[in-house]
Amino acid sequence: MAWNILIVDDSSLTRKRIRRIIEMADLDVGEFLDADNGSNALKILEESDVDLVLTDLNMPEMSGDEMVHQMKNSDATKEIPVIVISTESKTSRIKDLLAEGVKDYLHKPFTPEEFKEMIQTLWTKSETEAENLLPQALTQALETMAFLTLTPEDEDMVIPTETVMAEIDFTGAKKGTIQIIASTDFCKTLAENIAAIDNVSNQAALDALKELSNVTCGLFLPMVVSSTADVFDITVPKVSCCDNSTQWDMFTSNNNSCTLNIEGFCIAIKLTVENNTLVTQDN
Amino acid sequence: MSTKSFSGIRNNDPLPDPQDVNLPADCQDLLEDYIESTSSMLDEIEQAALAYEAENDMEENAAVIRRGLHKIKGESSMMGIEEMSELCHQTEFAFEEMNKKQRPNVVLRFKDWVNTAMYNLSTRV
Repeated sequence: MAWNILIVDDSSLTRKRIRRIIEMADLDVGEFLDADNGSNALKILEESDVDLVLTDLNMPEMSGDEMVHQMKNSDATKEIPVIVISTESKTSRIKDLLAEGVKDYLHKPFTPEEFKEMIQTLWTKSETEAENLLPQALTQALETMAFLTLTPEDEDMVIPTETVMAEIDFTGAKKGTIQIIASTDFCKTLAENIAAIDNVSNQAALDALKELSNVTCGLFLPMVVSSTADVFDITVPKVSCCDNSTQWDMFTSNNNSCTLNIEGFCIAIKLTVENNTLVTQDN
Repeated sequence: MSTKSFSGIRNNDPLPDPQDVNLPADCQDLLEDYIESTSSMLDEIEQAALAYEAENDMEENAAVIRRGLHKIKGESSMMGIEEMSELCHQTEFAFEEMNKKQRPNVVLRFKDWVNTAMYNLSTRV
């Protein structure tokens, strides 16, 4: 994925030089944006899709420290990675910034190789975080519903012979679909826990998956649509049944799905976001 | 980091020859920007040093000098002009170490050295 990079430095020469070094590093960069102080950088962040911020610290009008503080206190910008590029030698200042959420610190001057190494580490970390996004959200959803202890174990996955699928569309600043497919046994256990009934009908199992899907969605969307979490609509889940494992196989065979084994019951989730600029499972 | 020592700015000893300053090959096309930016900062620093010497708005002018030194250090460092960056670093130290009467002289000596170095760089490209 090409990253849009915002370079914040009060020296236009330094901004040009940083851009040149990044170009020499031969990385997959989308658009370069720049600002001469923290205040102008925050305006750009409001208006543009930025994937990475590189910032100096000592700047007129608004310092890099203040800009980072404001970014980390805003839902719209707190997830955007920030790297400080400075001649600053006070370790306490750098430590404070790292504690506030800055990803890394690069001392001026730096070489294309140093920049490349740091960015690759950051990308790898982001990809890992994205891979963990769905299991984390599901864990939270299940913990919120407080009916099962979640033990994701992929190694002894048993392919279910009967499955149920719930599909939820969401729209807003971003749009996409969340699909959850689970074994019928899982849904029945879910229904037993939600409704506290012994003999679960197929309809109750479907309703239980709807309920899980709704709760899971409520936790997914703020993570995926972080800047506009309160501006989306969710459709009522559509639930469908399948009496063989073909659907499951198709669902889990592509790399876009996340598969978990919850106390012996399989469940898989797929999240697709159209026109997304965030790193999600389908990137 | 440059192997040349610029600690002479702190005790009025001789400084390395400004003729020896080098610009990395991949920064040649940015030299004009560098000279324009550094000249502008040097003018500000010089005005502030003279005002400081005349004891006008001393705190404010000291801040202008510190900011100017820091900015030239950052830009020189990014351009790979190690001698200039090291001189800024030592001048920043010197400015804090010196008493109020000595400070303007250190700054003006810094300005003269940088001006000469920039002239030499511009004539070589």
